[in-house]
Amino acid sequence: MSDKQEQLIDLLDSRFRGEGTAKMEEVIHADPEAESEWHYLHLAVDAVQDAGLHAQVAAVRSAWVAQQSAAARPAGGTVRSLYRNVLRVAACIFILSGGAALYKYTSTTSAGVYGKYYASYTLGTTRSAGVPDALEQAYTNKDWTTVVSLFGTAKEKDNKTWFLTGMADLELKRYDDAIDKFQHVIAADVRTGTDYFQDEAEFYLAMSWIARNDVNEAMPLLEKIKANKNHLYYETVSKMSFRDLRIIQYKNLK
Amino acid sequence: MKVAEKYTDVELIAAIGDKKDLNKAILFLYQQYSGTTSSFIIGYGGSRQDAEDVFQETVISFIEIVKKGKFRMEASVKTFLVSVARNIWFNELKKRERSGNREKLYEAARDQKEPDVSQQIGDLEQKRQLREVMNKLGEACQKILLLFYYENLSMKEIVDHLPYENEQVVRNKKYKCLQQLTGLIKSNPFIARQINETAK
Repeated sequence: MSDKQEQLIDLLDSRFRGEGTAKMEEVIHADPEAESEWHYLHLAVDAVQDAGLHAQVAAVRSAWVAQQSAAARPAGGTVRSLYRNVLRVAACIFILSGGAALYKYTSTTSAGVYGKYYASYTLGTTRSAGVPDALEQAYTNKDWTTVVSLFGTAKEKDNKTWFLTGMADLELKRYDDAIDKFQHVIAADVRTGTDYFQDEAEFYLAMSWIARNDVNEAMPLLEKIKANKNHLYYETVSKMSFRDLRIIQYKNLK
Repeated sequence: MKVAEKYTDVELIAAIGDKKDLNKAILFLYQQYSGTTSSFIIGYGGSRQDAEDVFQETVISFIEIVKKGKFRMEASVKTFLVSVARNIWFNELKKRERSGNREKLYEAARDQKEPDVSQQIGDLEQKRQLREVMNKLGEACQKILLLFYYENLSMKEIVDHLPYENEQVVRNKKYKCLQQLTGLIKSNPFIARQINETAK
């Protein structure tokens, strides 16, 4: 190794340790060869630091995935089965409405919109705190009544507890109870200035209103979500037919 | 590793800057925000694996940005992370599909009001190339360089971690390893081309 390279590495290390030697740097910038070597040395340190960070994040990710996999269902299967279910519900609605395609007005209902756009919330494929507690486990097992029962006896309830129980209420078609829970989550976030489960609560609150045929209540929430590209449910709401929702609003007025 | 601490945005930034809290901060990022970005990636044609990979890259980029003091808190951490993830995913899509309308469609889906994070993220391809170069380095060299430049250990501390006789041996070895790594970087065609273009 040449003396110049050694000096550059010494300088790099001393700078790395927070010891400045401005004079040496002036010398480097005056010498194109040294400047080029200096640049490559910096790239080398960048490569090392990136590799270190990559390994550290990968290690945490592995631990996180291991935690999740115990509770999670295969996401791909869930999506496909949900998709099939949505298609089945849509097909049923079509048949039951007796040629609904001919008369959009008569076929557009809250139940139809709800069935088309509702998808169960899967704990494993979104966010979840580390080790699942009994309520989370019951939720993962789709044991909705146990979720509601555990909620009743829980001493400490955070937004996640309220939200999951709201979802269990929604699955049990207890729409008023679900609405109460989701509103609680949103109110708690407003109070504390956080957004813990806020996006989820907003979307499923809107869905609960639709399920109750109160589209008027759902519309402001849906419009709010549609206006925010960073909202977790932006993509879902963007795909909703607002024309259908307005038809329902109009029908409800009559 | 169980439940991560709950952080406000300000606390999270502070935790990222503190070496001993970094793992907790990373876990918090996963618990709080991996679902948000995954939904987006899957919504734009990615697989579950894509979503996980993109989020990992997002976390790495975010930590680098914070450590370099480039995160100015003009947007919330959530908003910023989603923007970083979008940027990384769009870049990945560009790589996968150089032509066709889909790319334009994805580009059109960008929100003009969202923070432009491309400058802060830097050159993703260069990062990938540097990572590959690093992987070509022998294990012993990787360890010694990681201990010095990532773990920030002194020569004396490195002697305790690795089977070298004394600090001078470690110092010499580190010199050689850094020289070797620099040589590998110089011989990488992508990086060499980039540096030549920058020099013009």
